[in-house]
Amino acid sequence: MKLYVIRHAIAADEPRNDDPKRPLTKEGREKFEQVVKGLDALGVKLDRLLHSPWLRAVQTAELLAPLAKGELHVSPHLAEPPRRELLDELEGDAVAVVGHQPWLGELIALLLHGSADGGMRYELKKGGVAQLEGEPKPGAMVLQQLLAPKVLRKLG
Amino acid sequence: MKVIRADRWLNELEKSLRSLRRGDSPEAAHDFRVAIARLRVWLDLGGWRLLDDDLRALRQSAARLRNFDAQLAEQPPGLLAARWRRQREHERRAFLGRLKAFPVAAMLAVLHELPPVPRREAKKAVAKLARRALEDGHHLKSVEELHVLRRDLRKLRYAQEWLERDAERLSEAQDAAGKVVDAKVAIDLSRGPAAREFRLEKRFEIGTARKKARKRWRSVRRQVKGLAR
Repeated sequence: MKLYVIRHAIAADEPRNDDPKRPLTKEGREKFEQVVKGLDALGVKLDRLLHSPWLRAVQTAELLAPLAKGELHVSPHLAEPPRRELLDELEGDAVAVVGHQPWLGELIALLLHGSADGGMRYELKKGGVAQLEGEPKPGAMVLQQLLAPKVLRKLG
Repeated sequence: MKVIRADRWLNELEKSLRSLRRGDSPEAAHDFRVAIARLRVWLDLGGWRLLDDDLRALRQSAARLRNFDAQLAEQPPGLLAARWRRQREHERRAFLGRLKAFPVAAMLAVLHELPPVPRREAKKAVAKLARRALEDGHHLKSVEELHVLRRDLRKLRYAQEWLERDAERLSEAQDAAGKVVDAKVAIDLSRGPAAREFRLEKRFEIGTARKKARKRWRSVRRQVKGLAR
């Protein structure tokens, strides 16, 4: 499996007392549209796209939808620390997950090293993408590339 | 109204879900499926792709339960009705089991957070839905083709209703196509010698219902062409 771990795009600071409802900013949307063009230029085609139910991830996933030839699904497991239930949802040859730090960093650490400890070493920028390859099991994946949003925007 | 909000049908979905869990209403499966179908059209009007796959699967999970409710509402003969009531209760429990696999709370959370749909965007989406109905309504020989047309007409009708426009004739055409499909479902659900006469009756019904459905479609096609521009 090729797994694309994607952090949501730049989001507004408000509402402060309701984090799940923070939307993307105009800047975040525009920049991520360029990121999607960059992913398209790299030939990324997704069988499955999973996203967290939080608004900024929902909106980011919607922008990625043109790259998804398969199904899109919401996963509450992308709005919490990574667990087996999330790994069980990873099916297909090319899968993308859209979620939040620090949990995405922990997911990457779990898949590369077998433990979510050390997730802070994989700090994805907003709109950033990590590409992993292998079986979606703890310690069974390899990091292929870490793509900063600025690089993807240039490619787009 | 410059924007279209999903609140009413979100509330209906939540209400029907509670009712399904309690098992206290023979209309709950129907209401559940209608609410989801309307919300899928709302997402379509807004140009959103997300949640469509999840909602389609969720709606489909209650299809068999709904089929039993619809057939029982037609008051079938005694032995068949008793059998279908038992199967219906078994199906309701199976549906509640399947429901646990769906991230329902997450789906509802997303639906609550999406912004309302601008009316001008919705109108563009209506044209697309109308074109699809015209394409699928070209040949109407099989029950399957009528089923597809019924689905298209239902989406188009819901889209018009979201825009608060008259959709009565679309609704009539949808219902006419639906009668053919419902008769076919009744045949599929009927087994054994006790249901033989019932099945024969339904086969005859399919013949007359098919003619009516084609006639209704012909009468509404001009309206649909107007929406497709």
